[in-house]
Amino acid sequence: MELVCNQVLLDRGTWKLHADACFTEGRHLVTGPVGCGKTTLALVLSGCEKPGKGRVHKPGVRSVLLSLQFPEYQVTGSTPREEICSWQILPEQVLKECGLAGRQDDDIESLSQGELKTLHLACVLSRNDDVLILDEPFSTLDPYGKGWVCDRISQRNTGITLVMTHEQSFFPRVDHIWDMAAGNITYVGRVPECLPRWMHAPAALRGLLEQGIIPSNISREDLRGAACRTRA
Amino acid sequence: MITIRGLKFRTLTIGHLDVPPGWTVLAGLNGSGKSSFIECFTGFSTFSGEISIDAKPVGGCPTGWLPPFPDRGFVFNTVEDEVASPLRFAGVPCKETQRRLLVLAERAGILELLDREVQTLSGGEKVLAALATALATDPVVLLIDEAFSSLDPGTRDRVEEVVRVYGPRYVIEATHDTGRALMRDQVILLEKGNILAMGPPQEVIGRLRGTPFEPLEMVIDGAGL
Repeated sequence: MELVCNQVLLDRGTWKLHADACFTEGRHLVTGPVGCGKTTLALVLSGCEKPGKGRVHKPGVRSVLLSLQFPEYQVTGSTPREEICSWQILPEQVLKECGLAGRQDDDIESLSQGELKTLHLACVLSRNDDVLILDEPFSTLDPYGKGWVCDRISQRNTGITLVMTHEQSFFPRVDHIWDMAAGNITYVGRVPECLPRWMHAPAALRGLLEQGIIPSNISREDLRGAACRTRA
Repeated sequence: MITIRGLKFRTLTIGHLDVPPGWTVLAGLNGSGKSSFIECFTGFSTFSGEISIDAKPVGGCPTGWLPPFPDRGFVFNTVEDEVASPLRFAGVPCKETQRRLLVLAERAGILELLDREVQTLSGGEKVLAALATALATDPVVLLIDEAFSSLDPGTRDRVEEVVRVYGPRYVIEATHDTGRALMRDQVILLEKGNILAMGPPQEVIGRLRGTPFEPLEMVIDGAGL
């Protein structure tokens, strides 16, 4: 199973997306500043936007799911129960997981941004789509929510998972890292070997790397563990 | 000083609170009352209790408000019309509006963007345009409700520098980013509508060790490096 961008070019006048990349099975982190093209790439990879040149191939892929940054653009149910059922999953487990047990029949618009995002992510992460593309999954979540999303992404061991984010404090365990800048995507490499080359690494990780410490992965637990082992 | 007495609004309950001038961060989980706290200053909501700023009722004080994803509140097509709109609504004469528009745009670093349509701006540029608009009427307090959380670190540094240099006497910011909160003047920690702690950032954020609120830098430092 692969998701391949073959010399993709999308021209938006003053700004262009160039992508030549192959995403294999595993968890991929795509990082870069606001405006670098992460969302545009997500739209192209999911088939929501057609590139002007080049093609996106999906050999072996049966289903692709894109989770948008703003869940309100993707919500169709008028209550949490309706919303969960619309994803063809059973409500009980999801309601409990996102802290909405007992609120299944509330007006969906009464949920806070964070609650709506958590509900949406609990739905998309409960499915088993071959390709799952998460565009800024951490936005509007509090630190507990971010930690929960990291755990859920880290547990996704099948298919291709792409996490597009500029988050600097919370990361799931990933297999590959990609950097994006000014519409171009560059493969940094496989984790952990690639970490010293990661352009958008958070300052705290850079501090570890400067001391010659390479953590086994980039979750909080991995960074804390690496620092602890050094002290020992 | 901002003084709050007997405040009740939604789940928010504050009996007695004095907030000194400076950049104050509101921290807490989703649903802890951060946005409700900010909303009490905007003039859009009715609450019970009293809030005054430098001894004047909050209703009589100009405030600047940056809601989450502030570009969604843009009303006009061009950056110039958007930033000038509070001045035009206030009936400021054209020449004076033009003069102040240029000052605001220069301070926010968006002079070259004034002719651009707001929807063509990058995420950081949109926040800078919204910030210039919020500062147009010389507010006494600037309210920032997670407005910077969608920015990457470099862009956020640039936006925060504008607030630091040109912001008003009081800045109140709701954020989940406790790493950034360490750089502010004071932190108010909210839980279920109540104040759990208030004080210098190192002291309040230090109480969050071992929780997901702990800044990544502290996670690593705390491990002994």
